This record gives sequence, structure tokens and C-alpha cells, in this order.
Amino acid sequence: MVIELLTKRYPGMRAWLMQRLTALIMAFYSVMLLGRILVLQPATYEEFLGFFQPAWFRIASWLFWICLSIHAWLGIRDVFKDYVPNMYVRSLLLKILVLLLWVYMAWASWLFLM
Amino acid sequence: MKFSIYRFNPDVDKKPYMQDYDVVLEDGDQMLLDALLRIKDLDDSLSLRKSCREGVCGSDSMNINGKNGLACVTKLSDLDEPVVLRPMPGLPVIRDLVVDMTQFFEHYNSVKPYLINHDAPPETERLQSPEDRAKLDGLYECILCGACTTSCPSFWWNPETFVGPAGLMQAYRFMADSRDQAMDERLENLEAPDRLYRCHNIMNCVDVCPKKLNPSLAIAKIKDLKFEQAREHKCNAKKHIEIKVL
Amino acid sequence: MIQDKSQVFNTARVEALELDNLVEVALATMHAAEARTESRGAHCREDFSERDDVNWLTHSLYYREGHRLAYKPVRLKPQTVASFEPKPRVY
Repeated sequence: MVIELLTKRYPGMRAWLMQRLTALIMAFYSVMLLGRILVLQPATYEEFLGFFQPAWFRIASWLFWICLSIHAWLGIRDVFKDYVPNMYVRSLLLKILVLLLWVYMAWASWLFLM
Repeated sequence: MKFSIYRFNPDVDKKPYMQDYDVVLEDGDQMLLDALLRIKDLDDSLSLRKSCREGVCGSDSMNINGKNGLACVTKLSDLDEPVVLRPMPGLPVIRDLVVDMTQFFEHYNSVKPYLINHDAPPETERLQSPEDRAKLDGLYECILCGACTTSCPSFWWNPETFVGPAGLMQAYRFMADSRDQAMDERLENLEAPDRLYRCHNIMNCVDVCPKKLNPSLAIAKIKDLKFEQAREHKCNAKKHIEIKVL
Repeated sequence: MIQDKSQVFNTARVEALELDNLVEVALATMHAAEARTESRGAHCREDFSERDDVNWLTHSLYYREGHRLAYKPVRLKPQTVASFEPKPRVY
């Protein structure tokens, strides 16, 4: 139902709502991650690999990364809008940001899903 | 008492500068405005807006020791010396402590700050229950001094597009009015990404408001209303589709 | 003496002009009040303590030349609502 609101009809609200939704998901994941670290306490590299072994955890981490990318895009876009008044510099910075976020996204996908 | 005041007269000065004053106060002088009028007696070239001298007209808003406020309701005893006075930030300076409020009022006008009601005017007033009237408390008291909007970083960086806390709170004041019928129109008017959603709850507006109002809360309520409106539109759209199918 | 000669937001000059108007209004008030030999609302005289609707149910007009005073009747018949008789307010 909420997802239905994220359409082009509400450009302002879409960004605002998206930022909050992604924040919520990331908060859930962070609590889960912290709990899992406290329970399993991975100390060695092997244990750490095991930590990331279960498919559900990999998918959750991947979803987290998607949320992080969206959240970062919206947030940093706002910051650039505020502090980079020059349109050319701003659009260049935004392009670099998009590129970076996609590279990280690809990297995260490879790590979590491969 | 020592003061350091921002001076700029476009007739004479190439650049603004700070001028120091040391003024002897008299017994009745309690508020900053009293001291400023003593200074004006000594140096009549110091320009500032003022009128009611009791926090009702909103003319003498300025930046006092780094924080926006009204000179007439700021106690001298609360101020550290030298008292640094500057015009409100984020708006063009006309002269000394006087800023050009045109942009501020353009944003204010853009939210249609008046009752919109398409019913024929009744014989007497449009009545309102005491409960409905209470919903306007904390909103209608705004005196449009501009202290909140000019202390808002979102307004500093996006003055052309962001309506600012004062304008947005007045937008909400009419959304909350039981006699107003233009809710949808008002919400639609704030949809553009930078008009409403530039507010990031920095809350400088709440901090500086000389009338102790809370524009940040009003803005949050507008966001709630926008969410509700969007949901209703979706529901209505679905109903339309179902009716067509039937 | 106004030191400020600027054309931009010269409040010293504005205030001087306002003072001029204040003096004018004060003069008008003074002359009209002195001529009005009654008490009415905020216009309160010790030598004429009563309201006098026979002689003073009237507007005072003041002219600057020679401090001349003229009078104009009060319109007692409103156009849209019923009229009521003027009488002293007693609280």
C-alpha cells in the first residue's frame, strides 16, 4: 500500500517517504546484525565466512545495501543541493555519486549473492 | 552598555562594517529596543524598523548576539556585552539593520494565507466550535517577523524555492481551519520537492520564535496530511477502476 | 537637526515628518476639545462634566488656517439596520 504512493505523482513525498522507509529497514537490519554478532561472535576468518553463509542473511544484507544506496542517493543529493550552488559542479558530483553507488551496488551484489 | 552594530548605507559605504557604541542607559531602559533608541538619539543615521515596542508588530526582528529575535522583547539584562547586532541573515540588507522582506512575503503569499470557502457567505459569521477553534492555537499568533525563516539553513541555501517555516506554518494554519475548504489545493501547492520537503527538522525556527510557536511541528503535520491525501487518492482511484469494471 | 541625509530608509527624516503630523493632530484635538463644552466618552472635562446631546451631538471639523472650527451633524439613520436613540452610557 505504501509502495503504491511512491509514484511520480508525488515527487516531493516520494523522496521523503523513501528516505524514511529505507531508514526503517536499515534500522531493523542493524539491530539484527548486532544481535547476530553478539550471539555468534565471529573471531576468525573462517567463522566470519560462516557468519555470512546462510542464504537468508545474504539476501537481507543485499536488501540492506539497496536501501543504503537509495538512502545515500537521496541524502547526499540534498546536501549537494544545499552546498554546491554551481549547477555544473553539482551535476558532475551527482553523476560521480550515481556511478559510485552503482559500483558499490554491483560489488555488494557480487559479494552477497555469488 | 557596549554595543557593536552592523552598519551599511548604500549611499556612502562600499562595504558593511561594525560600529561600536557605548551608551549610558537610564532607569526605565529594560529592553534592547530602549537601548537602540538611546543610540539613535546620539546617532540618527542608525536605521532600524520598529513600531509597537511590545512584540506585536514584528518589525524590529534582528540578529542579537548571533540569535534572531525581537529587540523590543529582549531584556538587556539577559545580554552579554558587547551586544552584537546584525540584520537578519539570508535576506538582502537595505541599510544597517533593515532587510528587504520581499522574498519572505512572496513565499507567505504563495501559500494563500486566507480563508478559502466556496459556500455563499451566511447572514452572520462563519461559526466554529470551541474545539475547532482550539486547533488554531499556536498557529494564528504568528506576527510574521521573519526570525524563523531567516534562521533556517534550508532557507539560506534555497531561498527561491523553499517556502520557509513562517509561510509553511501559515499554510498549516488554514489547513487546520474547520471553515476552510481548500485542503487538497493547499497540499497540492506544496508538492514540488523543494517547497515543503526542504525542511529537515533543524528546528532553528522553534529555537528563535519570539512568540514561542512551533513551525517545525506544523510542518510535520503538513507532511502527515500529505501522506493521508495521497492514500485517499489511491483508494479513490481504485474505486473508480472497480466501478468501471462493474 | 537631522544629521542623516541619506535617501535610503532614512528613519530620522520619517520620524521628523511624523512629529510634524503629531503636532498638527495635537493642535486639532486641543482646539476642538476646548470648544466642546461637555463631557463625552474619553473627552472628559471638569468644568462641563455632563454629556450634552442637545448642543453637541455633532462632529467637530478643524481647519489649520486660524485654527477655525466647523461642525457637521452626526448621521443617525443607518442605511441597512434599525436606528436607535442616542442616550448616555451608564455602567
